[in-house]
Amino acid sequence: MQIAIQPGPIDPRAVEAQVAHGGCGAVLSFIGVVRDNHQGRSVTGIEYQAWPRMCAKVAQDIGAEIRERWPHARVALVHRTGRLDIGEASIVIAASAPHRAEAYEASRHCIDRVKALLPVWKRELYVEGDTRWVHNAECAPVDA
Amino acid sequence: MLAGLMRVTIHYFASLRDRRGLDSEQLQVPEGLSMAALYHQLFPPDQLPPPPPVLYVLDEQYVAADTPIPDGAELAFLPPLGGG
Repeated sequence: MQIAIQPGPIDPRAVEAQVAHGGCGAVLSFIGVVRDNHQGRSVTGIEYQAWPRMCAKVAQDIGAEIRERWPHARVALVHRTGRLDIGEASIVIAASAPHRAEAYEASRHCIDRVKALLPVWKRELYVEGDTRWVHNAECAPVDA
Repeated sequence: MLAGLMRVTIHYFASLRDRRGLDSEQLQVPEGLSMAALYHQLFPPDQLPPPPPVLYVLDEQYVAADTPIPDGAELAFLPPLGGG
């Protein structure tokens, strides 16, 4: 699976182009965007931090899972880093397949695994000026 | 290098980077230490606020908390992830 970790804005069409080909009947994009609220607090932006080298490794593993379960699907993902404003895309996952069911399932699997395993962190910036590192419910650390 | 010690490289991210004030560092640590033992040595559980539960990464692989650290290892303690 192709992955890019980048500080600049993501162009969803460019990510789709990485997976589109003559044999696919479906191309779909999942776009994760920065929301203006979380747990009752007003959010002004999010700062993302990533470990790109480990992200590449994790993307290989997720790609292998997808190939095994949906051998005809192709998936690519791009994740932003740095400071993002409300409404900006933090992640784009493009999936293609001969038929839509596989594309939807592969895309859903990809985002669920990203939430649990991709080494990326986010710090929410609040209207009041304070900040907080927040994490995904899907991520389950195994602290001893 | 002193006998009984090994050299490791540790990467820090997010809240642990803030706590440590470093992106990464090289340390000499006792041979035979597990990932969790080193984490608790660097970030004692009785600190306030308590250090986060973490995912353990050894040479770019997620590993179990009780995995022994080999000499020359590159490792990281990942606070709960927030990607997507």
